[in-house]
Amino acid sequence: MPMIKLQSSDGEVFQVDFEIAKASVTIKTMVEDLGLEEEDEEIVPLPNVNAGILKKVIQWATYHKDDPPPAEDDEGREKRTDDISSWDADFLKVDQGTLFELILAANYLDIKGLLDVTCKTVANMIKGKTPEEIRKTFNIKNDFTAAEEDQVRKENEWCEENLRFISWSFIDMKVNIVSNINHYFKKFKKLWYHRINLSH
Amino acid sequence: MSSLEVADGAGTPSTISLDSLPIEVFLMICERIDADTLVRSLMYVNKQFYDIISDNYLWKKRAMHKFNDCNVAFMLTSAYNENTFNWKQFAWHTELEDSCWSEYKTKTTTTVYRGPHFSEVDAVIMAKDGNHCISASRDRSICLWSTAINIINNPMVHKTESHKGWVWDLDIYDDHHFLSGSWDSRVKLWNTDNFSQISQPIQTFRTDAAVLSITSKENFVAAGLYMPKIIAFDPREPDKRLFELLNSHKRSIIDLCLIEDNYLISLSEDKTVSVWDLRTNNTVKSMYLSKQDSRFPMCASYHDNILFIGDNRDCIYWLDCSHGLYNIIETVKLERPINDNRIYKLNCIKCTNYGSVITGGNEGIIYILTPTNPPKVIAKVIDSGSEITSIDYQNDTLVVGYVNSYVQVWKKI
Repeated sequence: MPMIKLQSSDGEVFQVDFEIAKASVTIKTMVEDLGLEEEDEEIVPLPNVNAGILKKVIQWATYHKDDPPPAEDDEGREKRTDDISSWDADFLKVDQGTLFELILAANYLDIKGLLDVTCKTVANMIKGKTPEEIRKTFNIKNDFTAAEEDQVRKENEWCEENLRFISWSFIDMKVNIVSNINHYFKKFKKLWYHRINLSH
Repeated sequence: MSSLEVADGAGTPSTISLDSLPIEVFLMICERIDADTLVRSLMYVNKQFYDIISDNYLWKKRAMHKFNDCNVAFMLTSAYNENTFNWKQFAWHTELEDSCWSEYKTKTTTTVYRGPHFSEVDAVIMAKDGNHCISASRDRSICLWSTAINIINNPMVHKTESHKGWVWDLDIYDDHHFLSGSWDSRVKLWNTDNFSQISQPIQTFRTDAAVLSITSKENFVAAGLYMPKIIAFDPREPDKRLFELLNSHKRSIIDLCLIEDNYLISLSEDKTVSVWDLRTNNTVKSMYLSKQDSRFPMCASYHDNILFIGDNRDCIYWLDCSHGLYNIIETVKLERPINDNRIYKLNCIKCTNYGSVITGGNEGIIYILTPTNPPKVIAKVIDSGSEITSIDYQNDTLVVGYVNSYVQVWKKI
C-alpha cells in the first residue's frame, strides 16, 4: 500500500498509509497536484499542525478509514449533536486546548467528519448553559456593562416574554448578581408583580 | 464532558479557546447549537459573541436552509423586507416549535379535563399568561382551569347557568376580564380575577340573535350573530350600541378577527370574507375565498400581517393584511392520504408565533403545521379522536375543546 510522509509544524515526520491520509481533502489535493508517486521521498509539510495534534488526527483517521463518505449538506432538519459515537466521545476526552487545536486542524486539513464531531462536542458543552456557566466553562470575561446588557435584552424582548425565561434568570441571578444587580432588581419587580397577579 | 472540565483546570500550553477561534469555525459550532441557547445565552456571554450572533444575515441563512423549497407566509406580504425582517426571531420560533412538537410525546405533558361539562365544549381560551384556561359549553356553564401540572382541585371554578343558552365563544378582553357569547343572544363581560360560582357579569350586552363569535380591544366589543349582522359595544356604555355592521353578508357571521386597530374581518356562512374599516364602519373589501361553490370560511387567526383562514374543505388561505391590501396570496391545500375521501373541516386555527399554525377540525386530529406552502406536518396529535371545536395556544401551552365535552391541555416540559 502506498505510504505518505507528513511533517508537523515542529518537524516530526509521520509515515501514513495514503488511504488514511486521504481523509484530509487538503492532503489529498496536495498529493494529486504534486503528482507524488509511491516511491517518492517527498515530505508533505503541514505547518499549521503540531506533532501532538497530528498524531491524534492520524489516530482518528485510522479508526474511521472505512467510514462511508460524509453526506453532503443535510437539508432542512436541525443538526443533531446527540449522535456522537462512543469511540469518538472517548477519543475527544481531552483538555479544551487540544479539542480546539483539533477543530483548527480538522478545518485546515479539511476533514469533514472530524470537524463535525469536534464542533458537536463543543456545541454540547454550550447547549442549555446560562451565560455565566458558559463564561466559566471557557474562561471568558464578560465585557458587557449592565446598561449594554440591558440593551441586548431589550432587543430580544420577544423571547423574554416567554415564561421559562423568568425561571431561568433565577439561576443566573445567583451567579451574576453583583455585576447585574440593577437589571435583576427590575426583573425581580416584574416577577413579583407576576406572583401577586397569580395569587388573586 | 466532566473530564473535559477537569482537564481544563490542569492548564494547557495551547492558548486557543472558544473566543479566539476563527469566525468561520465559531459559526460551524453555532450551526450545531439550538437557536434558543444562541439567543438567550451564548449571545450574552461577551460582546464578540453578541456581534457574531446578532448578525441578521446569519439567521436568514439558517432559516432559509430549512425553507428554501417552499413559500413562507410571512415572506409573501407586501410589507416584508428581507433586510429588516427579524430573522433571528423567526428562526428561534421555528426551531422551538419544531423541536417541541416533532417529539411532543416526550416533550409535552398532557392532561384531560373531564367531568364538569356534560355537553359539547364549544370554546376554550388561555387566560392569565397561560397558567389558566377557560372553557365554555353547550351545558351553559363556564369553567376556569389551572393548566399547572398536577393540580388536584380542577376546575378552579365551575360557573353553571352562566348564560341561558349554549355558550358558543370566548374572548380575552384584557388582563383581568374575559367575554362570553351565547345562543341566548347575550355577550357577558366577566372579571377573571374573582370569577366564581356566584359571580355576576360586570356587563351584559344584548344582541338580536344567537352570538356565534366575539372579538374585542380596549373599550370595544364586537359580536357576530346568527344573522348577517355584527354589533359593536363600548363596555363603558353597555346599553348603547356603538354601531351595527350590515349590508355585506347574507347569512350568519361565523368568526370575527380584529387586525391591528382599524380593521375587522368577518367570516360568513354566505361563503364570503369581509374587511371592515372601523374608522368609517364600511366594508373596504368583500371576497369569496374560492370559486368552488361549497367552500366557506370557518375560522381565522392573525399573526404579523398574515391572516390564516381555514375553510370547511381542506384548505387554509393566507390573507396579506399589510398596507390595507387584504389580498389572498396563497391557498394551502392540506393533502389527504390516498384512499381517504373524507373532507377535513377546519373548525379552528391558531397562529401565535412564526413557528407553527395549529388546526383542529371534524377529524379529531390536531395538526401542528409550518406556516409554509406546502405545509410540513410537525405533529399530528390524535388523542380522544372526538371532533375538535376550538384551540388556543400561548406560552408553551396548548388547550383544545372537544365535542365529547372534554378539554385537553398540552404543556411543554
